[in-house]
Amino acid sequence: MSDTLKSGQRVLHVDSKNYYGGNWASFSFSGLLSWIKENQQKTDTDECEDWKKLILETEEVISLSKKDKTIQHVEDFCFGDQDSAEDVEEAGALPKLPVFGAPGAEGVAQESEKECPPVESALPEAESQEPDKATGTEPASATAGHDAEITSENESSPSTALGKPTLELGKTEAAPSEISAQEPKKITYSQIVREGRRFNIDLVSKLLYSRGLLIDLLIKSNVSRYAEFKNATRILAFREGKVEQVPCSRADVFNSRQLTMVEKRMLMKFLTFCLDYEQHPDEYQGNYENSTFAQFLRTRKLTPSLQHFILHSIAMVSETDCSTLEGLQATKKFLQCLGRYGNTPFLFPLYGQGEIPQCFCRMCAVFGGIYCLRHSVQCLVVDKESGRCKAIVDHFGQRISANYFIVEDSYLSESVCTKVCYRQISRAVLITDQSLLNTDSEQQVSILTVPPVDPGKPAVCVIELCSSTMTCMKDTYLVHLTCPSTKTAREDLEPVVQKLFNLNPEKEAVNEELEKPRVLWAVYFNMRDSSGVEKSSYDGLPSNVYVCSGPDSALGNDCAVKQAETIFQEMFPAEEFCPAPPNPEDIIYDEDEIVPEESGFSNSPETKPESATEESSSGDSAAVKKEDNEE
Amino acid sequence: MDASKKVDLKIIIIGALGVGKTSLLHQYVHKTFYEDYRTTLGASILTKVVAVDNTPLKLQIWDTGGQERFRSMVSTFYKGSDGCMLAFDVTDRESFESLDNWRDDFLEKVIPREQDFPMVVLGNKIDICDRQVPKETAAAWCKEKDIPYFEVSAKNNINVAEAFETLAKQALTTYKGILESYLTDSIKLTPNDKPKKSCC
Repeated sequence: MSDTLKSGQRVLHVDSKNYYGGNWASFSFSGLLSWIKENQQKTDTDECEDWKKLILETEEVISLSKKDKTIQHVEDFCFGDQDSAEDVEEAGALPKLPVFGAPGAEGVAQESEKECPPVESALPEAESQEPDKATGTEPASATAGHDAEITSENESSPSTALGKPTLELGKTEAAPSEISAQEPKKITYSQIVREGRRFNIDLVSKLLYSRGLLIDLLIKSNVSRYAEFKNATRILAFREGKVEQVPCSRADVFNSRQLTMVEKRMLMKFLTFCLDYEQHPDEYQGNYENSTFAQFLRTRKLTPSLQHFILHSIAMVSETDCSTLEGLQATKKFLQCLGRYGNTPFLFPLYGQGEIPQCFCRMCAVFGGIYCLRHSVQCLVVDKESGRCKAIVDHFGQRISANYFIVEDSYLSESVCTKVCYRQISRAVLITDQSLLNTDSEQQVSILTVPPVDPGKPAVCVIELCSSTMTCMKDTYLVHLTCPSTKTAREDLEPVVQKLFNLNPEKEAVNEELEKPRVLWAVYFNMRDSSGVEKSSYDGLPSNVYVCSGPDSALGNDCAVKQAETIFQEMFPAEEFCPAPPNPEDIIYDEDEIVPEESGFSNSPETKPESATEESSSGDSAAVKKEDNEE
Repeated sequence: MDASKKVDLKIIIIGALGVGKTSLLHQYVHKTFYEDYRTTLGASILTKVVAVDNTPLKLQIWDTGGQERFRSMVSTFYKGSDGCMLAFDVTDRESFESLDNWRDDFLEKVIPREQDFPMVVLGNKIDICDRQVPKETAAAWCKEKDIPYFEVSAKNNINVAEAFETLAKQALTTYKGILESYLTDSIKLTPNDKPKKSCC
C-alpha cells in the first residue's frame, strides 16, 4: 500500500533489532542471556540482496555498519549452582501442567492444557508450555515454530536464529528439594531462570530528576501517560567500609539517629545556604573561586562525614575536578528536586528505564509514525550533485525515499567514524539476595555513590532496585553499577562489588562477609559512549543526515533530551519541540485525505533516539513513494 | 479489599490491522462510530469507569497505536496489563487465523502471574453479510482455549458492552486474587501536578 500525502510529515522508524531501544533497552533474564551470548560471539551477518542496481549514475552510497560494535568485554558469572538449572524452564503465562519429565506429553501443547488440573508449585520444572516462537518471526514461519518443548523467551535473539540462551531442552526433572522450605529466602539460580520474565534488566542505569528535562518533556508531551514511576527512597553513602543512609531533606535530618545534634545543625545550615547560594556571593567567591568544591567544603565547619555526604552523595561530583561553583550548582539541583514526588530527588520508571524510549515511540506511532523492527538498513543513497541524502536501501533490497535521516551512531560504519574518539561506560548488573542496607522496609530503591580509591578517577554509581519496581523477582534485588570507563568493566567495577557484596555464597563466610548481600549472578560489560561527539567528526555525512548518540554515563537524561531537541530544531526550526498532542476529537480530517493536516507532532524524534533511520518528508512535494513493506 | 477504593485495570486490545479495534473502543467508550477507515490516529488510551460487583473500576484500555502493522508493538504496551481483548474480523479469514499468533505474542510478552490472564475474543463486523468465518468455527477455537467468545458489531453497537464487561469482571476477580497488589502503587505524572515545596 503506497501512501500519497499532500501535506504533513511522515515518520518511519526502523530498527535492525527485534526490540526497541538499542542500548537503552531492557531485557528479561533469558533475554539478557541471549544478548550476552550475541555480544560474546563474533557472528557473521547474512548476505543481503543485491542493491547496486537500485543506485543511479547520479548517486553514490554510504554503507552502514553490518554489526553493532558498541558492546565489549562482556563477562557473566553465576555464583549459584548453575548445573541444577540445566533443565529448568522459564515460567510462561500459560497455566501450569502436571507433566513430569515426559517429553511426549509436552508435545501435546496447547490443546490439552486446559484439561489438566493445575499443579502445585512444588514441581516448578514441569510448568511452562510456552510455544517456541521468536517474537520476530514473520507470519509465514511462525506456525512452524510451535514446538512446545522449547520455552525460552527469544526476545532479543535475531529473528533468523533460534538463539536459545543457556536453558537446555531436555527432560524436566521434578526437584522439590530445590525449593524446600528450610531457608525460605534462599534464592537459587534455577529459581532465577524460572522466574526470568519477572526481571527487566536495563542496559543503561539512570534515574529521573524530579525537576529535569526528561520529566518536563514527559509531562508536556503527555508521553507520561504510558509510564508509571516509583520514588527512589534512599540516598546512601559508603564510608569507612560501611553503607550508611544520607539524610537530605529537612525531615530526614531531623529524624536521623546517625547524626549528632551539632551535625544536624551544621548540615541544615549548609544545605540552606546551598539552596540559595547566589544570594551570598561573598561566601563562595573570592578565595574559593579557584579551589575545588572539596576544598571549599573543608572550610565550612562540616565534619568529615558530612563533607563526604555532600560531596559524594548529594552533589555527586569529583573530589579533584569539580570547582566550588559547580559543586554548589550540583547541590542546589539536588535540593530543588526534593519533595516534588518524594523524599529524594529521583524517580524510577516501573519496569525499568527501557520503558522510556518505548513510550516515546508509542506516542509517535499513535500520531502516524510507522514502526518496523527487524529491519536493517544497508546504505544511504546520496545525490552526487547536491550532496544530500535521498534515500536508504534496506536489507530486503528496497529503496525508501525521504528528506531527513536520523541515524544512531552505532549504525555508522567504521570508515565514517575513523576520526571519532569514543569514550566508554563500564557497567555491571548484579542479582542479589538482600539489600545493601537492611532496614524495616525491604522495598527500597536506593542510590549509592562509591568514591574512587584514587580521587582522580571517577566515582561508581550504584543503584539498587527492589522487586516492586518490577525489575526483579520477589526476594531479590537488582543492582546496577555504572562509571565512565578507565579499563574493562570488570576491572573498573569488580573492586567495588567486592567491597559491597559477598561473592562467595557457598563458602563458609567470615562474620563480616555474612552481613553483606550475596551476589547470585553478575554481568560486566563496556558500552560505547557516543554522546558529545561533534557531527563534524563523522566523515562525509550529508547535511540532512543527523546522528544521535547512544547513552551517556551521567545519572540523569539531560544529554539525550537536549540532543533530541537540537536535532529537531535543526530540521524544523519553525516547529515546536514535542508539543502537547491534540485530542483525537480535535484532529481535523480533510475529506480527501486519510491523514490529518496537523501532524507536526509525528516529527518529533524520541528522546532516546535509538532508531536506525527515521524518515520524514516535507509536505511540499507531491508524493512519498514508499515501497510495500508488508511481508 | 476496600470497596470504596477505585481499582485501576489495564486492558489491551490486539489483533490484525483493520479488524476494528479502535472502532470497538470508541463504541464502548464514546458510543461513536466512523464509517471510513482511519488508523488509530491520536487514540491511544481510552478510559472508562464502570461498576462491577459494587466495585468502581477504572478501565484503562490501550489501543495498539498502529504498531501491529509490522508486528512492532512496544513491550510497554503489554506490561502491567490485567486483561486482553483479541479481535478479528468475521469477513476476513486471515485475521481469524492470526489469532493464535496474537494470543501467543501476548502470553510471551506479558509478565507471568500466578493466575491465568483474562481474555475475551471478539468477532467483529457481524453487520456485514459477507462472512468468511462461521460462528461455529470461531466458537470452537475459543472453547478450546477456554476464552469467552463474542460476536460483535462496533458499527451497530451489538454486544460490545457485554464483551468489555465480561473481561472487566474477569480481570477484577483475578486482580483481587493477587497478593502483590502493593506493587501497583506507583506515581503517575500528570500535567496538573502541583509540586510541593522543596522540604529542605
